[in-house]
Amino acid sequence: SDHALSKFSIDFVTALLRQENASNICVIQLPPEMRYSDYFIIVSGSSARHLHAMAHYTLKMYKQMKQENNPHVLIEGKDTDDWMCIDFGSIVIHFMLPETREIYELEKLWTLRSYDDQLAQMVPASLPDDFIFGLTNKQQSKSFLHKRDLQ
Amino acid sequence: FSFKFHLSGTCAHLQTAVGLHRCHLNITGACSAIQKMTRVRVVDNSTLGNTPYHRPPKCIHVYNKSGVGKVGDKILLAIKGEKKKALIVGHRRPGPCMTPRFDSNNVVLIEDNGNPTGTRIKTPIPLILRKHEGEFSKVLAIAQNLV
Repeated sequence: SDHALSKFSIDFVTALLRQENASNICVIQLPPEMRYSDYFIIVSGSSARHLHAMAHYTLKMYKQMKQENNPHVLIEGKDTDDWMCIDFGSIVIHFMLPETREIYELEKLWTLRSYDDQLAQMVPASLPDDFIFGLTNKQQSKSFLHKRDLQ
Repeated sequence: FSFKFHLSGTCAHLQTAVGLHRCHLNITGACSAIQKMTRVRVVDNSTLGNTPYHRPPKCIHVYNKSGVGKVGDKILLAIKGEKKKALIVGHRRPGPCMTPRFDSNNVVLIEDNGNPTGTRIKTPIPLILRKHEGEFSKVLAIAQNLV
């Protein structure tokens, strides 16, 4: 089962994407601690048809090279026109339009992880002031009634 | 992991005391997973999910043969007076062995074509979504914390 995956390597995939005139190919190598995949690729296309063609061509190449015991792979986002992705297990490829890429900024998230600026801009969820962890239902309802009497 | 509190009818006055945050205090214990009329917590950074409203977002339909939604199921939410599709990313009910159980019913808003409405998710997202049949790579791509 390793033969197909070694042939369908990251170099092969990047060469394929360059051949398809994909713009802004971004390959991020992920550490194994993330347990997600080894390589995370984001490419841009010029139009919806371009994305569609790239995704289907990549899938076609994979199907030609894979053996019987490799899992099937599906294209996610077939009915969208701006974002498609394929998960090959050790490689994940995202095909997006440049506008969509600007909105989501996946490269920033996957290189900076916790230091991403969109994450910093998110308002953190906070506990209410009277939250007490570990109260049972009876104790909780008692304390709320008490508060209501005070007010 | 996550937390969420729902306000029952008797404690409505506390909402004004605590301010704009959607402070809902959940009095019930852990029940079934997500079905019709469950109040859910939207965990992404979309404006629709984060603007305060006097009613919490509720599930009104589960796109499933049984009416019960587990992790990875699509549901229909009634949120701010409009209908929106969402994906379940965690529930309070214990799931299969060695899968995470969350303290709140977490949900990520998605469009009809499957694209997520928000751009980042701070709460942990279970990795079993990858094994499920369906379009989850996009939600995993915008998640900060994978569990």
